[in-house]
Amino acid sequence: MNTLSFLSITLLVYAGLIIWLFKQLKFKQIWQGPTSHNTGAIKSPLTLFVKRTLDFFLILFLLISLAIPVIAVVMAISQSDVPTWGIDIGIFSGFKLNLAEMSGVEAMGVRNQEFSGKGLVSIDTSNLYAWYLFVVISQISALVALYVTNQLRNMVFSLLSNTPFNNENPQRIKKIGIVIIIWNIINPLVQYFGWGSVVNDITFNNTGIQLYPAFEVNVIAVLIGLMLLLLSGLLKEAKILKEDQELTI
Amino acid sequence: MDSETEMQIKINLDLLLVMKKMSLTELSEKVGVTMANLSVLKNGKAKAIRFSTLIAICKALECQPGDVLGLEAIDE
Repeated sequence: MNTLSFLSITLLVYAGLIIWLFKQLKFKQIWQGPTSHNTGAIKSPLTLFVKRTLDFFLILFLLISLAIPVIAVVMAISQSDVPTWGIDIGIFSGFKLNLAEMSGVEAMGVRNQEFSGKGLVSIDTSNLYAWYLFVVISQISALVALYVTNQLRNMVFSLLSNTPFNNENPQRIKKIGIVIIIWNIINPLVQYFGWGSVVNDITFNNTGIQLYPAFEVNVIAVLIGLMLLLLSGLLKEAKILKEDQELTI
Repeated sequence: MDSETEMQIKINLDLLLVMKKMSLTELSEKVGVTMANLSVLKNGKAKAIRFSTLIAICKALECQPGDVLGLEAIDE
């Protein structure tokens, strides 16, 4: 596949994404305060605060997810065969320092001359594999964030129109929960296998320093995802109760 | 009428209103229930009726609960 066909496919996908986004998101109501239609819940300052915070994050994530493909394409075009420049990307990696194997380095006041942990390692984009992986992961993260923000925003709108116990809200909470769980299972695997091969390529002239692929599952996030699934079930029950209550004369 | 037949409660408001020569609006004012809720009740969409509402309806229409409520089979 040559560069031109690759670029045109990318642009088509990008255009489709933009059209889809503008259809999905309720842009007209951004930063809107109390109106004559929205009485009741909108008078609560907290709801309004949540709505405006979500508005802000919606715009932020939208800009980021629209900017990433542009940056990727611009960099791909401007890059010559021999990469001359790049931006640093931070990758997550585990490290181990064995001071005993390094000459002239010694730690005082510790029992063990070994240090280990996890942290960010900066590499430059002349490693094309790392660069593409970085672009793809960033794009997916931004889209996931945008999706979750949009779902939350839709739920706030249902609260503002005094119909929080509708059919969609349990589905929305369930979708958010599933997305959070899936992303927090896929992400550690991407970290481990994707960045792992990049980390393994980094070598040192001293055997005292070691880098290894980091594997870390965000247990709290997975638990929050499970909690959301539970909450979705509760809200479904609440909807039935609300219906019963409304149809009791 | 066997036990397999699905049954439902019928609200005989139409009949009672005609017999007492009362309009739905008038009943709504006397009972203190909105017109919207009263039509929900009349059209058989209601899931339950409060004792207080039933008492108010019986008082307004000068009848017994048995006159307002009836049991009928659901026709498929």
